[in-house]
Amino acid sequence: MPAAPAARQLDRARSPLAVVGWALAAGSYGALAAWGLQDTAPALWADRALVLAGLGALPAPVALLSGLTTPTHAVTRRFLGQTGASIFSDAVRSAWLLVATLLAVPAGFLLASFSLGLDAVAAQRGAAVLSSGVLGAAIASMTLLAAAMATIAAGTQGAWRAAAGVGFGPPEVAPLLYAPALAFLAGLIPAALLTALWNAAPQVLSAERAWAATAIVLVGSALSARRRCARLAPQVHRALLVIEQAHATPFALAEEAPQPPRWLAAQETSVQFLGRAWVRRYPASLFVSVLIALAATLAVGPKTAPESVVILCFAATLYAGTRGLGLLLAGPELSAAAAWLGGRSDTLRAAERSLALRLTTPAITAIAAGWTSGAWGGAAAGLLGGAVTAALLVRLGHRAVAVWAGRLGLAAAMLLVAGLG
Amino acid sequence: MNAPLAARQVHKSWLDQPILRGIDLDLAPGTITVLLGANGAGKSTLIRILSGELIADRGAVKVDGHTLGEQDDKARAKLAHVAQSPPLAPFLSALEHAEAMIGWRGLDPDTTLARLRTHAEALQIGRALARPTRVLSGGMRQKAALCLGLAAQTQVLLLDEPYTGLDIRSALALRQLLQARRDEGCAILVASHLAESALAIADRAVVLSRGQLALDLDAAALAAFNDDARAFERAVLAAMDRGDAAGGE
Repeated sequence: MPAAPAARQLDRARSPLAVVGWALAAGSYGALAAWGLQDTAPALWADRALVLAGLGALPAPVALLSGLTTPTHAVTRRFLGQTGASIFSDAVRSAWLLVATLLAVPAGFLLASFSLGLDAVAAQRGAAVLSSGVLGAAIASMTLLAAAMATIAAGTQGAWRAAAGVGFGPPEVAPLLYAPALAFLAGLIPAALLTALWNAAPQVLSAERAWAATAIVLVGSALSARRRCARLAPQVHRALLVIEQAHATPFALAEEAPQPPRWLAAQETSVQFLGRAWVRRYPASLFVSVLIALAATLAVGPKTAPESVVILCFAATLYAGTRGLGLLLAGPELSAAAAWLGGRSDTLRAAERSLALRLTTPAITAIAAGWTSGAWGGAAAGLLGGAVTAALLVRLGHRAVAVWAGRLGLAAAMLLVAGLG
Repeated sequence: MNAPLAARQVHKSWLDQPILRGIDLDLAPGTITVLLGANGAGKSTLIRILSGELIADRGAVKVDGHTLGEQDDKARAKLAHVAQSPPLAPFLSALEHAEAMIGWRGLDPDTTLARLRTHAEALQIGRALARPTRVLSGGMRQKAALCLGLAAQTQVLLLDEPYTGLDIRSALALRQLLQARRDEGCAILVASHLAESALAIADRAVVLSRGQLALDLDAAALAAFNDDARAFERAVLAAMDRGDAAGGE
């Protein structure tokens, strides 16, 4: 009976402790964001607010994506149907987590802003950008997850199935893999529009209008998502059955190793061997890197967009670095396996150098470009997209996901360029 | 005729404690030689030296005429070794191991992968080939390593306690796979402490005791036991006792 585990998951999701904890985390994020803005010139607040909103919006879809695509998270994938049901049902019934976020992010931000003596109007605009970014991604995640489950239930995921290929769990659940990336892109659109308006015509985005626009967009989106999810209830429950069956029947598929990225498949044997081990060794590093980027942004308080780019590139480099650390830690076992299979130590060492160079070059280049100012900021932003894309390529090891990662990088670059005015 | 593998006067000590004392061993093509001995007799040490994984203190091992340690790449390309705890990379699947092996050894991909899949089906791990080896059980890992070793199509195949952790059906399947490799001309050495399973498969049996070969039975001598496992066990035990007595003197 598939409803039983989903119901247990629902109980956990609705527990008051979870909602309070979530609200505290969201409020802390808002307060830290205000602290990060305090040394920034007012003219650059819009850019910083968008960057912070993007950072705040990343963890949820990234964590979901990470959980869906990494072999070490096969267990997460197996329970994805239940998690999906939890999010769906929670949204339909009361959406307490969304409400907590909606209240806590601006509350934390505004409280910190006032205590730090920030400009009141700009603080309210910033709160609007942050709320719309973080909540937009959350609402979009919920909506797209439900839509993906409806697609699964209908069995019409032909295109998704082709994109999923092999190695990312049963093809039947392929649409779930792409929902988080799409949700991130879609969720940031309101925040980007607010930022563009703030930069282009600040008088239009008065504090009252900012609040009104944010409230209308968020409440409208939440209501729309709630209504849509409610309509999808039967399909979601059918999808749960499909997901459970897909994971139960060909259990081996759920734990298959992902296919290597295309560029890696074209490399010589030693690079392929090490690269595959590298991409799977350190599953949490992307999430950790995002958190460190957020912390660095708040702690350093960069005053220009290129400086923000530098911090993000630092995170991308850290991401590649943690992969390198993983490879280093895995060195003895990989060497033993390679020797057993007929590999040679000199070719393995050369492969290590080749991989390290290939994977850190985009991030290092982006950092170098980011230190420059003016028009270079745009180029740096574009390179950031390249760096993130490269990191995701290595991380995900899948062609179709890489396409979405590329689009994500392109969108990030466009947002930053738009934010620069 | 050159033996695919020839060991001469192989000596090895650990902390001044002799483990192997002048082992001479030739493996003939198209034969299965079973290496028997008590726990700690030096079977695994000998296998590791024959595979090039360990270096002998004295003596030489030649694989297809290439001396291990001197022409290491050429010698090791001719042999495959499946240890008791195979060094599989935990985050890679058996198929990915096979792809690396194909690249490094210059094997034909189609033939090798076809063999791998056939062996995997026989050992009932066909669907586990694509899983990272770290999610496999100990027995499954052992089977995956055996499939890789068998698919390597080498002239020499060294197996250390290959039946450990295998269920009865898989053990029978492995026996058939080894016999098929033997019929293709491969020289196979199987280290085991189970005399009964050795008798079922061996063309030759050697007993290692106190670092020396205490008994060497060819096909005719093995046939004389007429599948009487108890009699064979008694002969092996007697050889071990003789070795112990000689070593204790």
